[in-house]
Amino acid sequence: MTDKAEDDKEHNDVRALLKGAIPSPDPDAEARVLPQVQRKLYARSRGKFYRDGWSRAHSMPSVFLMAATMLIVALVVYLLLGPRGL
Amino acid sequence: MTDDVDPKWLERLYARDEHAFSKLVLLHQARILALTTRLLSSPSDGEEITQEVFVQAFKHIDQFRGDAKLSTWLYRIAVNLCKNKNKYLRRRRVNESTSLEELHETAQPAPGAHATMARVGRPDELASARQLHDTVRIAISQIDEAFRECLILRDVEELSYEEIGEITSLPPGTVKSRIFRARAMLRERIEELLGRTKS
Repeated sequence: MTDKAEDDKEHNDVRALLKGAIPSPDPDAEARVLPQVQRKLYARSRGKFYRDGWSRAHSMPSVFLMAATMLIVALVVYLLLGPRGL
Repeated sequence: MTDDVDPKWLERLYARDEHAFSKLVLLHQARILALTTRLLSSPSDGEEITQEVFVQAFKHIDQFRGDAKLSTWLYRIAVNLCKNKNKYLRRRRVNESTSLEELHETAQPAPGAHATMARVGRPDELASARQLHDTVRIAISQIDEAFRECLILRDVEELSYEEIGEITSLPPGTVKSRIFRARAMLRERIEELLGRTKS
């Protein structure tokens, strides 16, 4: 028998009651967790971890996106200035 | 709980790789935040303890041996930190019992309460739905912490008895009996409180 099957209807009522009554997190709190954790780790490790903006990026794609943008900019600059400089 | 831990990712976590750790936070923050908020009955305390859970996880990740789910391990840290916080709050007498009248003046309805309240149209029905939620909140706060913890993990977080046992380091039989007793205590307290407000 599964755990859920062991709980009778009365317990489902308790469950519904609890879910409605117990406080839920602040809707904006989730977005604050990672930056705050990174800040605390930076402070407590005395700057060893999360010391720069790159490591504090929320995801890898943003790092790759920035790298790709930089490459494109460098290429454009080379094409504009490079051949004339010869 | 989602928990297929990629061994390579785990290696990166052991090596304190910052991006791997950020991914861990993003994956688990919502559930840890919900749990801590419920265990502490306070969104601001829940937020503070959630941050601390991940700081502790970063510090002690090498103690995670992979014999339990990563989420269970994080839950265990969260439950222990909530216990410490509750102990601290009790000592500071912040967590003192609140009268129903005071709660009516200060408490905002829990976000989950809107679904129930939205179905109720008449003002008297709305008031009684709100009163019931307030009563449940008071009743749950008056249950012994060890029982409340098991009840929330089971009835709100919907974890299995085995998972609760791993988190609380209790045998499943003890978990079941605590949940059973917690439900009985809750029912008793609610009836008592509702009786008191009617008289």
